[in-house]
Amino acid sequence: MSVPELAGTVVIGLAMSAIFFMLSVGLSLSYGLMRIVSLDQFLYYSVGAYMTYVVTSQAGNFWLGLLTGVIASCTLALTVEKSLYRRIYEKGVMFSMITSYGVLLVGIGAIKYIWGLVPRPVMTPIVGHVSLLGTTLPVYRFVVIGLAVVLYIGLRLFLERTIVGKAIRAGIEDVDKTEGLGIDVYRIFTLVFLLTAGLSALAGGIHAPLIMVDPHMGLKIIATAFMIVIIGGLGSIKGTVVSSLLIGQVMAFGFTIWAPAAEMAPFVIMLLVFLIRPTGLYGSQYLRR
Amino acid sequence: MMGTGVDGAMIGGEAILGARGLTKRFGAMCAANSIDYHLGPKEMAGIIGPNGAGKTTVFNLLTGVYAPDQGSVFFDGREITRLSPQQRVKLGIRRTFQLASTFDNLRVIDNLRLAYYHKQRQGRCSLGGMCSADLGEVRDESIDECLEQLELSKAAHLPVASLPLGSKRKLELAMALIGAPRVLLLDEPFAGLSEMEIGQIVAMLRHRCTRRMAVLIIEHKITWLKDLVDRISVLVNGEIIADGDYQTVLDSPVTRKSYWRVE
Repeated sequence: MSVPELAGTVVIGLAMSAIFFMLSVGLSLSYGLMRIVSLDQFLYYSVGAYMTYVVTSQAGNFWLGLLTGVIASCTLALTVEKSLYRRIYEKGVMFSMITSYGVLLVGIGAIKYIWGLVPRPVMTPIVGHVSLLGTTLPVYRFVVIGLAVVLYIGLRLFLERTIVGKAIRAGIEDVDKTEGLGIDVYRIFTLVFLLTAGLSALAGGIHAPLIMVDPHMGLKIIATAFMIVIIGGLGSIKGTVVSSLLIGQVMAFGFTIWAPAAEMAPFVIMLLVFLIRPTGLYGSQYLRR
Repeated sequence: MMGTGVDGAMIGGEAILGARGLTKRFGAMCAANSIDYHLGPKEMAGIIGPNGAGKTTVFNLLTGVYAPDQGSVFFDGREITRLSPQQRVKLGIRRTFQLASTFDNLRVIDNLRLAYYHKQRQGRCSLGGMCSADLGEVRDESIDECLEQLELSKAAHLPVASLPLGSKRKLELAMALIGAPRVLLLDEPFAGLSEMEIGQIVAMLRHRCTRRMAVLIIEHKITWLKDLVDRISVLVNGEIIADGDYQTVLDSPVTRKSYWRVE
């Protein structure tokens, strides 16, 4: 593998990691805090992508589309959280899996009804290229990577410096004890759920120019996203970062070397990680129950 | 002899926390059987009983963790049987747990700040309030004061996981006290501690709580309560079988029979 090819693969991998991170970190946090598996996040991912498609093609502004996607997804997520999740938080993981899968399927049906089955292209907002180590790469990929870095730093600051962030961390350690301090944990649940939905929508919108927008895009990425969550360790942000980076590179190099390996390699990595650390790379010792 | 109604504070509705006919069954086991109990506004009282007597169940009923099968709970002349645990915390009922309920992955100071959280949120609930980096000056002062009293100032920025159990207990007590509760419920605060650590906790309770708030302590070992509480009740098989000052309870034939199993 030549140096330009290597550089190109690494950057493509990093951009994939960036999107994986945005999609997985919320899933990891919401499992850690609320003990839910929220499959409807992949609907918000799709809605984010479709809103970006609509606004970009109609109004010609990608960033406005991204914002619209986030707002639309958060509104939808708020409705789902208030009407469905409220009733199932106490009931165990299976309830949330099945219920949210239902929401996802209904949403995909609605998307098919509105936009049809044909995949839609989304214009890349930044068309420039940069030269790096003998290869030219689209600027947009670097923007995606930069955005993920900013989100990561922002999330860390939020969780470590603000009182609500500390309450979220306390809740991840033990919800009952947190409630015992007089904290209304359900408000925090709503907040984390919306945060997750917003990040999912952002991931969808950002991903849209790199892939085609289609009704099943959410379903296609479920396995990868959850694999990243469990490789990293449930409830750990640091773990999600490391496993996003790992899987991004594994998939990028897989595509370059032998395409079928790209689909399979992440599963091999997952099995290897589980052989060594069954709780994932940074699986929290506090996650019990 | 506060428990016998001689003291004015204990008569009728003047109790700060009360239970009437409180009953809770778990299957065939009756963990609380028609318990009547009253705690005076500034009283320090203890409940002792053998393992499995239902001591923690009584706490869980008083704090709203369990809903009773029958009976009611009163706070300051008002029925609170149906209030959630958080709502009761907001009224000023605080508790500690058998296992120190501090947060291991947060720093000592953040544990104290979180204990203040609900106070901060009262009245205002803006995004700014939720994202504010720290609490107001006055509050941080009282946190500093609390840390000093605990002799934990040096450890303020360490994660709680690195503290010994005694310090965790002290921190937990401080977390309960920092919200200035009106009733403090302590679930076996001395379990697993050395005599020296127990002495520190007793001193802290005397200094911070006596005649300032109502305190109810559950203990397995009666000896630690001797010099601390005004009144002791004995709970056996979900029933209060004796109630009165230390010596009265100790000498009572019922206690001797069912608690120590001596005739």
